[in-house]
Amino acid sequence: MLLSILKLVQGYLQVTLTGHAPERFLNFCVRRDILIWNLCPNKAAGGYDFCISRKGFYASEDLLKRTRTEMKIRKKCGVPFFLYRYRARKLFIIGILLCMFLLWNCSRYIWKIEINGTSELSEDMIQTWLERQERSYGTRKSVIDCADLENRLRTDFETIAWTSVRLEGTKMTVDIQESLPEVDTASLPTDGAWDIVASEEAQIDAIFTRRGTPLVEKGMTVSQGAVLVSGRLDILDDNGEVAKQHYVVSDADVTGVVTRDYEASLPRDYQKKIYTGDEHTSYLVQVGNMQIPIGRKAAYEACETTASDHQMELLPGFYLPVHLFVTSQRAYVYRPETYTKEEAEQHATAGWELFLEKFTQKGIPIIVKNVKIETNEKNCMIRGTIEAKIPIGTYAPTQRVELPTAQEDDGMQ
Amino acid sequence: MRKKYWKQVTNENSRSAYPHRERLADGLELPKDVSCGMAIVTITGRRSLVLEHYQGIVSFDDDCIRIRTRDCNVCVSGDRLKVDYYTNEEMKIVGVIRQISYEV
Repeated sequence: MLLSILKLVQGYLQVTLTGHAPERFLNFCVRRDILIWNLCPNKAAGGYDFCISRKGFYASEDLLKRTRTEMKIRKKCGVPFFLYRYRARKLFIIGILLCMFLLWNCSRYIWKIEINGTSELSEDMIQTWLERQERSYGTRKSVIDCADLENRLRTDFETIAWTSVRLEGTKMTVDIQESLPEVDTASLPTDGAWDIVASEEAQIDAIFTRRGTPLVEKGMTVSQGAVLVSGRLDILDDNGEVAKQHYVVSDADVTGVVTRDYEASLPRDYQKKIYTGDEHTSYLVQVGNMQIPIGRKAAYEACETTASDHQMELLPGFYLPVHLFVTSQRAYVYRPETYTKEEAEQHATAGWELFLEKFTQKGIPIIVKNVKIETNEKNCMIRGTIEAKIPIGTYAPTQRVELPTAQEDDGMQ
Repeated sequence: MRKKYWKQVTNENSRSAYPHRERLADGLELPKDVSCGMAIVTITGRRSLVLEHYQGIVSFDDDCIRIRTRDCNVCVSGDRLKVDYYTNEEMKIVGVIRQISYEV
């Protein structure tokens, strides 16, 4: 392989040797260290076919006279002959070299940023942050320190638990793992006297008290504002009377079964979007900051527009600052329509399912759900009720109660 | 008696180009290719043959290549014979080799 490349770089000729004593010519050649290969007899010409190096060909010119032979060139191969053949096309060669230089120069910059793993944070937030750090689209790769960028991301966004920044070709990939939102413990009381009261009307499902006096039990129904766990601790004497009181900040997990109602009305008359069948596609080529529109956008009265961005990727991971934006337009008109009973109920049920999904996403278990759909000529009404287990405790200041003094007790006696 | 022995030896080696060199090499146990420049023929299967210490090509056809060495001609017979490379040191013959013979 290496030898073949070397032969191509130096150039060689495929020739036919004929004449009085071709064998003698071959023997002279080897004595002069002229390389000959692929030697085979040519019966038609009455001589030999072989390959000879370019330098060897010029060095053997006098041997042809001495041996009274003739050499006919069949083919010229290799770089020197190629360059000689295309010597008139200098601009073409310069263009190739310029193109190679541009590609090399483009490979030194970031032309694509991929952000993965965001949930609470949006990709736009990270993009804007990168722009502020001057590490965005079009930044030179040599100035990007991935480890430093990771540290700064974690510092500036507290919700980011783990991040990884890596460069592949001209693409920068930012992988992010966000932590769960922390409970705001700053607003919780730390000292004083605090009760835990019901935030809404509910049936107690579970109560686990760590500090304070529980006043409710499982199965009890409580109204909004009812004290669930008191911040007052009564210390009783031998007679069973309150001898002393301590006030603390209550601490307990109280779960209650609450009822949530859902009601929605869907009118059966609606404006249906009818596609006219007219479609138009226009293109826009963007090279760096320069935009070249190809074709005009259609002037539809009402249309649905879909745009897609295709970035040029020369090799896997080697993106270039060349974008092709494809904009597709589909014209439509509105036509008044009426939902059938099945369609209306289907749409109403979809809204109900969305309502349930909100609870499921928050991890709130639903224990009972009832739904009723009523459809008349004009509307489709859906009413539903669910029972779900949610934490119902919230803090409220404890009302202090004065203990009767010993003199008051005597007076009463 | 001694003279006669030498005469006999000279007659036996009369075909050799350098009989004294050969005797010296035998005595010193030197390899003949180094001391006398004898040809080395290396055959790989029946498709390839490498020949070293040759003097030149005598004739070359599709089915026979005759190469001159220091003490004899080596004739390689076969089908579709071709010289893969041909240098001052060695040459490689490829093709289907049927027979190798030494012509004195």
